Amino acid sequence: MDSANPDSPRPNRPQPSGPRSSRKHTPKVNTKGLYQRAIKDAFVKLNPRQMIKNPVMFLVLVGTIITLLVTIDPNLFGASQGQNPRRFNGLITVILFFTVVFANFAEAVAEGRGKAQADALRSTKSDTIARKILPDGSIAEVSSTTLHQGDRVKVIAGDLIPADGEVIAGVASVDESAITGESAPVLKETGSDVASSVTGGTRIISDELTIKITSDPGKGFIDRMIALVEGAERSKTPNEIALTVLLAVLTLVFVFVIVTLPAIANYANSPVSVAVLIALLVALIPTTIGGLLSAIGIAGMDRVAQFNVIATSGRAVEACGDINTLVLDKTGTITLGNRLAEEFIPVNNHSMTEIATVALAASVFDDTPEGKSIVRLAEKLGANVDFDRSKAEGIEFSAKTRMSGTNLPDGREARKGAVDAIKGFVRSRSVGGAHSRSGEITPELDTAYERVSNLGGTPLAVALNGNIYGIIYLKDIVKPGIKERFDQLRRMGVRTIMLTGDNSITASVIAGEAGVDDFIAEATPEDKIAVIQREQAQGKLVAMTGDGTNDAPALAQANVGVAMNTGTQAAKEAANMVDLDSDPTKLIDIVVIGKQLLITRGALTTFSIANDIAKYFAIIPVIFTSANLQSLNVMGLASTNSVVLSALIYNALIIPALIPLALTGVKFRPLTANQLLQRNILIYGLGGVVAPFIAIKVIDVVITAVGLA
Amino acid sequence: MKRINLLNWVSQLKLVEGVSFVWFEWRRQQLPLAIFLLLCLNLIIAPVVYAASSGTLERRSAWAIGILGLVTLGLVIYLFDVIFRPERY
Amino acid sequence: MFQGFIQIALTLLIVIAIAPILGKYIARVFLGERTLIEPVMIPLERIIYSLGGIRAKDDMTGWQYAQALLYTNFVMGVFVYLLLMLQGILPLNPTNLIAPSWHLGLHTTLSFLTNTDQQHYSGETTISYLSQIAGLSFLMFTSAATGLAVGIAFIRGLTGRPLGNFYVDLTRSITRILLPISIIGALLLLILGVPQTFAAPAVVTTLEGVTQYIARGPVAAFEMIKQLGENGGGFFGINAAHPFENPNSATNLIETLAMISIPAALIHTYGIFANNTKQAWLLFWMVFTIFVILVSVTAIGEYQGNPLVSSILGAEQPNLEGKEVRFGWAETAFWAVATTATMCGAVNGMHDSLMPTGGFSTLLNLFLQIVWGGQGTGTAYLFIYLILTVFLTGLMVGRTPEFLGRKIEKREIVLASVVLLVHPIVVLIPSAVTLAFPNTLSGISNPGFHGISQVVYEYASAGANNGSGFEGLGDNTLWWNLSTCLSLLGGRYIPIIAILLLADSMAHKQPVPETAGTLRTDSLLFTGVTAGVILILGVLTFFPVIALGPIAEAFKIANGQ
Repeated sequence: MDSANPDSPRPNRPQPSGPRSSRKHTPKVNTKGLYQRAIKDAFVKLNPRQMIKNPVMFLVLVGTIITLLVTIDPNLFGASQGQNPRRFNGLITVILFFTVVFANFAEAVAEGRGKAQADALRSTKSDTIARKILPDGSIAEVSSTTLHQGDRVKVIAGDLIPADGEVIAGVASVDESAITGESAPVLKETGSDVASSVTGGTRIISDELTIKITSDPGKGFIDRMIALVEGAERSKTPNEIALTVLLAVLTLVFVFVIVTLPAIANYANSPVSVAVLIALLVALIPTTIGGLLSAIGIAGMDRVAQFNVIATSGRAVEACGDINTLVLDKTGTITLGNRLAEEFIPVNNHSMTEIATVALAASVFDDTPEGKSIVRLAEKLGANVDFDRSKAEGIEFSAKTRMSGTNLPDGREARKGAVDAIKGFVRSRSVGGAHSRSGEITPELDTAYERVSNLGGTPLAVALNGNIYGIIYLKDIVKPGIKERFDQLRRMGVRTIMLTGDNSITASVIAGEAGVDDFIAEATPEDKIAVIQREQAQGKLVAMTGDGTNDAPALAQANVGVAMNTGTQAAKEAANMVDLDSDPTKLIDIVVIGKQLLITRGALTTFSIANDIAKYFAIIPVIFTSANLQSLNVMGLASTNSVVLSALIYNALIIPALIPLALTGVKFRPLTANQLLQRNILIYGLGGVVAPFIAIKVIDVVITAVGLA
Repeated sequence: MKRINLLNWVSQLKLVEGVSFVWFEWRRQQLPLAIFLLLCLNLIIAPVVYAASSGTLERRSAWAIGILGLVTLGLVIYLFDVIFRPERY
Repeated sequence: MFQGFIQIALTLLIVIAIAPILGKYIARVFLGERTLIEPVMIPLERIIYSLGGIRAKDDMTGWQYAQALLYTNFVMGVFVYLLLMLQGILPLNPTNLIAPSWHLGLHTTLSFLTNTDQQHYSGETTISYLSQIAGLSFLMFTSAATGLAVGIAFIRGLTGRPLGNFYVDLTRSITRILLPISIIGALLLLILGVPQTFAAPAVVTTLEGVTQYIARGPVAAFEMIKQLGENGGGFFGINAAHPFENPNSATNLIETLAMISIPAALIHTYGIFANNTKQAWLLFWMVFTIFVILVSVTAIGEYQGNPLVSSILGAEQPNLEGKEVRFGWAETAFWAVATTATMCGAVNGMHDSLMPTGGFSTLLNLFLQIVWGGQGTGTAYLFIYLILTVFLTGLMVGRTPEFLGRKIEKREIVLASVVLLVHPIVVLIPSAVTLAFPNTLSGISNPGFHGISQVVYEYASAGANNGSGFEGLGDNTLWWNLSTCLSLLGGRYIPIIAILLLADSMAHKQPVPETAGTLRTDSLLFTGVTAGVILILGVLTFFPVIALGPIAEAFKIANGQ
């Protein structure tokens, strides 16, 4: 679209609405065999080279190896005590091993789902033969993978478009359903901002196009997204890195605690075996979050992909959660793209039927949604076409005349358009003619004009020859449910700013109706950057959507820029996300995903640390036999061996138990930060303290009953 | 005099060569070399552990504990590295 | 019984009353606003600055601040070490004391330099008057001022101000805060009977006809800064239990208040800097609550006494072993918790003789380091915990965690982690080594679980820069002197550097405006969560040693062994 007027209607753009879930049309993801493959991968990932990337789990792996050694030879580190230490050590080894495998499994499942997602994306990207236009103008057939930025290719009906690019010649319709899921073909033509960019993997279904390739092989949007959801090129996001540090610190602290324990315990005449020490260490270090951390990150990217959004980095998705300000265009985002006729306001003593008839006459050839809505309204009011359509001539809207209409067979001219344009038209037709009263521009007209403006509508004047018949009230329809979404955003602390080309009266009405926090009327593209910079100067993070070439600087300036897939290549390059459905409100969903990602990490970390209390209270009282700490054994656990095993089994099982949560993310509710904290602390903090007490007790009873310990 | 100098020179060369050899091998195959160095270090540690235990430990256990200690030390260094350079992991 | 608890309650009430006033005063001093003593101090400071060649307006970066601090401390350390080693040939040495051993001298110097004042000697028989005044008293002022400067620089950084100039902060801490209060306090102590003299020990002949030497000296001045600056190094070996240091309940009250007042006030100072008195009060009440719980646990334990002794006496009697009868169980219990909470480290009774509940409380104080905490550094540690809590829980509201509008990112977590890591390292590792060789190294006087408490306490006290001793430990040995030196230095300077760098990086962050999505850190909920995080992180780290020390001992006594 031409952003010089952010309000110009977008024709032929389906505007998805309705509940989010119904819009989430995942490309068919093949989950068959996902779990078998994940199980296999979980073992493949035991390779120390991979394990070393995850400090917590690497420690567990090293611990497993050491307990394996004391299983083979229980007296390796000095004489062992207790009956059958080999069996006990063996059990510890098995549980520790499974702890690592479960963690790997979590990652593998997340990656597997990502891969399935990537395969679905990749299926659109088969290696095709491209017709490359050589410098001398001749055409050579080359593989699409050899195309580089700047190459020019020709595609004709039936071809797959070989790579992302920009149309430099031709007009054609393209089926983009492979990536957007939208079945209606899209018109692509050169020059126009909206329709000049094409995406690799889509199919041209009519005519032919010459395309200039804008990305190198493997660097297109789809390629980047594939790499991201597969987890192969996943670099850690800033918050993830900070969390990794914290987990490593906690791990290190507990390593020091455990390393110093034998000397102290020996002094107290309660020597503790190496296997038990390792068990205690593994119980204390944050294995739950350590095992699930990477799965959470991969699953987050996967969720973004499911929403049909291509993110160029995980960092951008995470930044979405931090957004303070959302800059949105009015048209197509807050209101439906099209204004609809709501009412006819007759002036100059004309009747309602008269104005309806003239409006109908002026609109019969108008195919825009506005025109069609006028026809509908006029017919509802009983107006008929009283002339021979085939003999009449339609006058198209042009930016210069700012009106459209019909030249009737009898020579009369029916016009509708911007009020001052019609005023001018009426004056020109009145010159030399009879000074009929109805040709005069009366104050009544201005009153009607103001009334419509004050309602937030767009007034169109209707005239027949030199007579003004009245005003058509074109109403901007605020998208259903948008007000609630902005309410949610406000509660999440996100401010919304609406940009519109309308005058400030109209803008304020729409702003009020949609419930945005602020609006900029009569906005130019430069205003967009200015607004973003102003907000950023206050330390805020700004997100915006855009699609035009002149949106590109603003998209680059914004902390999160979401380009519409229908937008220009320049806009897509400048943005850090591309929405394949070209639905500007989707930004709100991405904000939620970003927040969910952080909440899930925080919640599982809190849960993991809170669990330590129960594990301590289970293990410490029983391992120092000489210290008589039995009264601290609040859970009444059976024996030293059963306690250690129960705690470890709990520790191992909690990882697979939480995989679903890690993959789907903690449910996000649009509450204020304090309400969220209260809720999540209650569930994951308090829950994390209480749950293991119960679980360990239950496991203890079970394994004692089956005689495992 | 001259001969001794020459010997000195040769042995220095050998030392440099040895160091560079170990260094290059280190870059090539880290794990086996790490294990080798670990065992070498343990030559010093294990007798200390054995002596400190004043006869309550077998010689074999002293060795095992020495290695366990070194592995732990390695883990501590590794964790410090994770803390200060988390981007690498 | 009631008398004891009323004494404790009254002291607490006074703390609640004076903390905000003193906090406001400290804030005025460091915000550069006018205070009452301005006319006297400005010329004095001007002389100091011109002598030192300092331009008061130069703000320092975190690293510059840390460097200035380290250089200054190094120079002061060398000076005092030389003074101690040469005291035999220097004046003001009426009892002709010779130089201490090199390692004792080193330990003493570092211990006073780091605001710890752990003493492996008895003052009256080891340190000359000159060393007491020019060496140890001097360090008591400068080390307290160093801590205060760090605390203030940290608060400035957190609230987005430049860190300030170390030399100016050091000078101001002394001239505007420590010196004036010390002068008034010392005069009060003098009036209440604490001696202040350069005369040699008094020689008296007792009724039995034995000649007795009664040690005395310039005690009053020494005593006040010892309490006020969270130093705690006694003029005499038995510290504030000595009748010349702490003759009666009135001096006991003054000295108790002196040690709690500045750390408690600094929380309010933060409130003024951050323009958020609500948060300051919430944090104050959080720390206060933990403090009161620990005091209660200790006081009840002491009041109930030792069941083994009670069974012999046939009635439940308070535990008075190792206590001065003029203070009784209540004042001693309160002092014991206060002195470990504030990192003062002065004692008015024998901590070794406290019931296990007392051992538990005092140890926990040393482990947490934030129940008031040391001069300046305690407040900084409190905010380190706050930052860690913000990071943990902040993620749960779905945003990059931020504190006072500043984002907590990798660098902040790394620096906060360093602070978190140092303590377990400097406490647990030397404790383990010592306990691994009990016969050669430890010098434990009371083996068993109590021995563990003794050893861990000694290192915890050194690492937390507290300085009190569980006592009963033969600690003037090469091993103890040198190993505690490492804990002293590690526990003092590594966190200080990390704190200053953290303050610097926070100061340079662009603050994010507050919205409904911002986690408020001045809510009751968040403060409660902070308390939880402090207890979990602090207690979990040291739970095994607490379990094997005081807790095991408590069960042992309860079982009648």
